[in-house]
Parts: sequence; C-alpha cells; structure tokens
Amino acid sequence: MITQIIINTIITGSIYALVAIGFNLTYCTTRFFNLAHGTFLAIGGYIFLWLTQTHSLNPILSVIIAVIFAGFMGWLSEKAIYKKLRDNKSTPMVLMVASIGLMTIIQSVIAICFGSQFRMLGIDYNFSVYKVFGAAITIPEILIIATLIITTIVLAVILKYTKFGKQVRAVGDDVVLAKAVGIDSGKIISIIFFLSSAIAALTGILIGLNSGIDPLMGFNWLIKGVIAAIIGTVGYMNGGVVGAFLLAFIEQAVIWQFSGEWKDAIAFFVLISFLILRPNGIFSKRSSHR
Amino acid sequence: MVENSVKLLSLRGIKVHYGGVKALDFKNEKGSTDSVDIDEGEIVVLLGPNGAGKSTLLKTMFGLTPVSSGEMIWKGSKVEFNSKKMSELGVSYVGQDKRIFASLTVLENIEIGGLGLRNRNILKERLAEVLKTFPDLRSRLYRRAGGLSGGQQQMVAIARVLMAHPKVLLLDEPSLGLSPKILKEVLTVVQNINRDRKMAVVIVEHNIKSALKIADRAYILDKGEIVFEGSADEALTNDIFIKVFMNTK
Repeated sequence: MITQIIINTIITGSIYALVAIGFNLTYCTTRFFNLAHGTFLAIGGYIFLWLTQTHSLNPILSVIIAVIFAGFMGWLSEKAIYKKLRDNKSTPMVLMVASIGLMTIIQSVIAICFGSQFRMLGIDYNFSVYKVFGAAITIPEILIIATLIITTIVLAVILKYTKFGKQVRAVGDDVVLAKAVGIDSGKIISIIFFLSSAIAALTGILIGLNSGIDPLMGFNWLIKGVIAAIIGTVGYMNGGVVGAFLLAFIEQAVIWQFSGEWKDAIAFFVLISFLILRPNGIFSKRSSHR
Repeated sequence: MVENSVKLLSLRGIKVHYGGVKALDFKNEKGSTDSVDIDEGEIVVLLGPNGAGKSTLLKTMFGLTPVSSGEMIWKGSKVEFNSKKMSELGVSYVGQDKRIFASLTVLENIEIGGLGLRNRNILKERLAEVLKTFPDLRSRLYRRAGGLSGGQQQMVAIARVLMAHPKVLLLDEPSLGLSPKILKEVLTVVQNINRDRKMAVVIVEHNIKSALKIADRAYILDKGEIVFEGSADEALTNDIFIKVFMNTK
C-alpha cells in the first residue's frame, strides 16, 4: 500500500510539476499569473485526439504536431494579447483577467469542436501495467515521470549554461535593464510562451493517454500546478517541482487515510495555510536566486 | 552649433513629451542649441538641475525614450531610436536605477555584455581584458551580483558594457549610492577606459566638480532645453551655469 502511495505521489507530483514548470516559466519572464496556461494541456490532448482518431495519423507524429501547434498557439497568445497589453502599460492584474478570458474562449472552442464529454486517448493502445515493488504503474505514467525528469534537466541546462537561458534569467530579473543591455525581451518572452505551451501540450497528451481529457481539464490541473508553484515560491523553477511533490504526497496521504473527496479540499487547505503562514513559499529566501 | 564634420553621434531637433509635459525640446523660440554632438574618444558631461532632462537625453541617445520629433545621426547616417539597434552600432548604456541583474552571478552579468559575440575565443579574450581593468571582480565572479556593494555593482555594470567594446558609453548618475571615495575610483576607471580604448563617454552626474574634472566638453540643460555647450573649463565659469543652478534664469 505504501509503495502504491509513493508511486501515485510520484506520478501525480510529476504532472503537477510539469504544469508548475510551464506556469513558472511564463511568470518569471512576465510577472503575471497566466491562468490560460492550463488550456494548452487540453489543446495538446484534443489535437492528438483529432489526429490519431479522426485522421489515423501515427501517434508519435501526432504528438510532435500537437506539441508544435500548442506551442504556436502559446506564442500567438503572447503576441496578440499579452504583448499588446504590456505595451499599453497594463498591470499584471489586467493581464491575468485577459488570461481568464482567453482560457474561457479556448475551453468553449474545444467544447464546440469536440463536445464536452470525457474522451479517452489511450483506448486504442492497450497499455501494459507493470509492477514496481508490488505497486502498479502504466506506460503513460512512466512516460509522465520520464518527461518530468528530461524537462527539468534540459531546462536547468538551458537556463544555466546557454546564451538563451541567461537572457531568459536576465529578462526575469529586470526586463527594463535587459532591454537596456540590448536583449530583445519581446523575442525571449515569445519563445518562453512557445516552450511553456509546448510542455503543457505534451503533459496534456500524457494525461489523456493515462486517464482522459475534457475541455475543462486544463483549469483543474492548472490550479494544482499553481498551488505547487506558490508552495515552492512562484517563479522559482526547482521550487515548483518540490511544491508539486509535497502537494501530491499530502493529497495521496489524505486519500489513503480518508477518501478521494478530500483531495481538492486538502490542496486548497495547504494553499491557504501557505498564503497565511509563508506567503512567499518554502524557498522565499532563495527567490532572488531564480 | 552644428559643425559640418561628421560626428560619431548627433541628436537634432529632439522633442520628448511625457504625458503632454515637455521633457526635452532642442529647438525653441529662444534659440537654444538644437543639437547634441558626440565625437570619438571624448568625455562629455550633461549638467543641469533636477528635471532638466539630462537622464531623458541619455535614454534618448540609447533609443529608450519615445521621441515626438527629431533625428539621431550615427556617423553621418540617420538611425532609428531603438535600443537594440544602438547596441549593435556600439552604444552602451548604464542606467541610474538598476545597474546589474541581482539574481545572476558577477560572471553571468559580465557575460551578458558579450551576448552578441559568437566566437567563444573572443568572448574569453574580452573577459580577460575586462578583468584586467577590474581586478577586484576576479575573486567575486561566482558570487551573486545583488550581494555586492554599490561601488562593486557599478564596476560590474561598466565591466558588462565593456564586453561589447562600445564606441560610446552612456553613464547615468554613476555616483548614485556611492561614497565620494568610491565615485572617484569609478570616474578614474572611466577616464582610463576612455584614454586606453578611445571610447566616447557621456555622463550625467550631479557631482559636477568630479565629472567636469574628467570631461572634455559639457552641455547644460534647463527645463528640457540645451542652454550651454562648451568646454568643461568654460562650463564652470559661464554665467549660464550660475543662472541655471541658482534658478535665476
């Protein structure tokens, strides 16, 4: 039982972490809560569904197309909405409200095109179930964990050692100074939106293969990702991952002790507790090290 | 005031307004100077009381301010007011508010100045060159820049811009937050860089005497207008200087 709780914590924590990473990426460069981020999970899932089930396209090719398409949509959202608002000197609150609007539009469009019912992406693949120390784990779940490990390592290397990564961190530190040293902050932010949306889309596909998708899935996962980001200090990439696993562990422990109905309640209890007791998250002292 | 010889950088007929309020106005009915010219290898200081438009002028030179009218000329050719373009041409800017990326290490801050360099060997050469100019930074390369003293942060900011081998360095209030002793050190470094690299330097500085000591020429601004242009020696003894700073104009 304990092994299954640990495995479930790792799987759920990995999903939360992937969502938190994408959310933190956009937050650390633009300093606003992009609540539309979650909808890119749904975009990825539904594009994959459309390509594989309607057009019978190769699943791997479908993943690539869905991820690139979602990345492009993220890039477009930055160019067409958020950049214009920033140019108009809009406050982070205005940008957040705009992101809620975009989220609602995307959810509605998905529901109109594909219907509101729950859809299974993995139904055709008959994934095997493996046993790890007596606990069950499926191929999509292994892929979720692997995706988190690869994403975390690749992003850490990019942010620390590449010219692009240094520019991202410079923009995140001070966008005005970044501009003054000749960094094209608009281009950097656009690329970050592409990357974070692409990561969200891949996460959405893996969630869909593991359980299923619906037009509102993005918001539900985003809320957990945002709670994880807040626990681990918003904008601090590694903190979001730690926050994700802490949140997932608390949820799984509560499910084990009580029932699944307590899962969301305990997540928000943890959030409110952090907002009162440690509003800047676990790593608040390190937040300037981002 | 405008000479026929080709200047490194010229700004002509500039008008800048912030929300309808005049911040810079090079040409007006009173016939004040309508251009600012910077020559290669000279140190120019911009003087004036608070709100005279000095920092706005410096930002305009780097394309950071939206201008209502006027033009910027780089080596005889008109250029657009764009910070990225100005960086590419060889203009570097160190602002007064925030000079360094606090969360990045000293080394990363300096390296950001060399982002335009594609060749890693050149990047290494430039880094070695910069550290020769600022030997004190050598032992602090892997420390977070935000943890350094004000003077050290100013050095990091100047070191960063030197990585690009700029032709013009724009320095806004280098004395802000620094003790007179540290300011003297900073200005000495600026003077050495100017001498060794033939790099033009434009400084906005409230510590007038210290700035004029190292300057070749000076402009005095008042209420967005250029009311004096001349040598650094002339600036201190000119009647306009007294009028502007005593607010009796």
